[in-house]
Amino acid sequence: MSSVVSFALPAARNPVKPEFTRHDAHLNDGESTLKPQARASVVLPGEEIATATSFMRGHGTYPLNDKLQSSLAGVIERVNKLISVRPLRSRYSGEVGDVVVGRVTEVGQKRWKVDINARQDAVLLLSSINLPGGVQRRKSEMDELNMRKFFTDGDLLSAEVQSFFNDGGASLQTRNTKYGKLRNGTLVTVPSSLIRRSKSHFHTLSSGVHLIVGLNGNIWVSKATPQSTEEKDSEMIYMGTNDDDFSDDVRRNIARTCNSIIALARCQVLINEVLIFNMYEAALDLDVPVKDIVSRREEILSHARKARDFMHIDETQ
Amino acid sequence: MLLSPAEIDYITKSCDRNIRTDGRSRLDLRPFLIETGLLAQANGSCRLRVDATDVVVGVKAEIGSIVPERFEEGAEGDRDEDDAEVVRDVQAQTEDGGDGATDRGRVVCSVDCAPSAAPYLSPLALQSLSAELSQSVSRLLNGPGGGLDLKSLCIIPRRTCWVLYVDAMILDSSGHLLDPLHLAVRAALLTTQIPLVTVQRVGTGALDLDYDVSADRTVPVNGAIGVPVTVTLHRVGTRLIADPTAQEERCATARVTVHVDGKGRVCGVKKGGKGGLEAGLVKEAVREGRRVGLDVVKGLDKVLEEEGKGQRVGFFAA
Repeated sequence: MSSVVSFALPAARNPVKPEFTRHDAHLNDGESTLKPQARASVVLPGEEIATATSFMRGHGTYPLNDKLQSSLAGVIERVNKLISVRPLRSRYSGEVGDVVVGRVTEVGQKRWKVDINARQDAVLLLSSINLPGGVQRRKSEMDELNMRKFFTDGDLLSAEVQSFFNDGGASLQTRNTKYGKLRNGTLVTVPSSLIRRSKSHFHTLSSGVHLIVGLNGNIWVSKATPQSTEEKDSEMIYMGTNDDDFSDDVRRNIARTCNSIIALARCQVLINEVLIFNMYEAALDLDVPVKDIVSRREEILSHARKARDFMHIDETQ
Repeated sequence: MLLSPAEIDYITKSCDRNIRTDGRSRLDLRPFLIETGLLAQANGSCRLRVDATDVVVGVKAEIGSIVPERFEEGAEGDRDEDDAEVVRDVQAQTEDGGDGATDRGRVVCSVDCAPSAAPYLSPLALQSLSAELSQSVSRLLNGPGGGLDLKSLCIIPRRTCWVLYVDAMILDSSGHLLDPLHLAVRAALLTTQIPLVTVQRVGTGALDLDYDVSADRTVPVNGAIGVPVTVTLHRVGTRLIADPTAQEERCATARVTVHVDGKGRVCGVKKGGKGGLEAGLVKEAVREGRRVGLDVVKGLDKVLEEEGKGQRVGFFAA
């Protein structure tokens, strides 16, 4: 057994090149003027964006001396006269129907508090979960007493955003066999702004790895289980223990998938299942050891982009 | 930090199977990113990053007097039981030594954790973490295994000495903090330059001495090369792992901290955590800690040599 200790010196980074937004052509119409330096898509807090009189101010902006300034480090977004700044990093702000992966932080009266990386914890009502075995009935007081048997503090779960309360908190539901308690794997957290919405957020990769890509930036990477046994075991949906039959290969594949996801996030690339899979295959192709995937991310990503025949991908969306 | 039972089980079994969740084997360390000399006002400085862990250390040398604040390190931070203990330790040591603490310089350490470093900790817990880390650095450097030649920091016996203020700031954390902190302190001390002091005799008495601080000539700190590095091995499941991630640290039941210097001498061993350890595991921890520690010392000395040749890129690079 040998341990290799790696030390590196920081490398000088190239200055950020201003990129122009699609809307630039229209920004100087009429009497309205946009500050030239603010025409670059990325702005810093306190940077002037425009003259306040000619634009409506949206999120992430504030007026100062008849000028509109950014209150965030972010990207300018403009819809007609409305100017807003979308932060580069922010908490997750969900939409109804989003698939999220969250962690139970509190068990309350008929509800669980779930941390989904949003500004406030989401709520999962007792009435919004499935009972073991798929029994359809009203939840009784007995169920209320047994709430910790379903989910308890620290448990991870996948769910769907059902609705929003007036204060902006999300209400979740797990009334589908594909949602529920998570096991047999590990969690990867990336900035939620990097997760792209796609048709499905549940994927089984050919390497025997199952992915649940939560739109809140939590990605659950686990061992894939055959569909048939999953349905058979609907009694077991609240089981919190892992399977015993884990092979080392599966563990290694899970680790490789996790590191591929972290590598993509470090490269600031929008993440979807296709890109994760391509990154994974590129790492295999280049024979990169699992633990070095994150440090050699640039090399792997450029290889993944070159060799698109791993899986048909359309990155331009 | 919360973890579900399934996660804890997965991480524990992964450590047992020698395929950790980030693909490392049990004794693999994550790559270090290091830079020294980035604080212009300090005599020596270092910024060390390991994954998200981000530590900045500055060393400031000041001339102080020996007698009145003899054991100032005890006065640092909260004066609680442990600090008092340090004072007694130092006293006992120096009295045993015979020549006393009257002719040596001292090191004053403080570690500050930014609230962002561990958002899951309460302000109070953060404070106690900072105090614990300060104490660990202070004990290491002022203790007998610290490596520094404190006597060479003395300028006029019984009167004047250099005081090295080692201040560390922890900006972010992902995993165990002690190892990167001690490593950054070692790198900062290795690159510290203190002004050259010349002592002249001005009278006939034994203590009729005067000193002159050079404006342009500097010298390195004597013995900085002997400062040990720290390797902490965590017991997860039935095995020991090095450099845990925050999740793995949460699954650990006990830990053994091993201080190793460049010659492979074990300068200190400390057991932490609530769980127990078998005698065999302690032996293994010291053996493996020494081996990994030697690799770390070699790696650090090599990269610092390399850095001396290259161009500095500054605080905001990469």
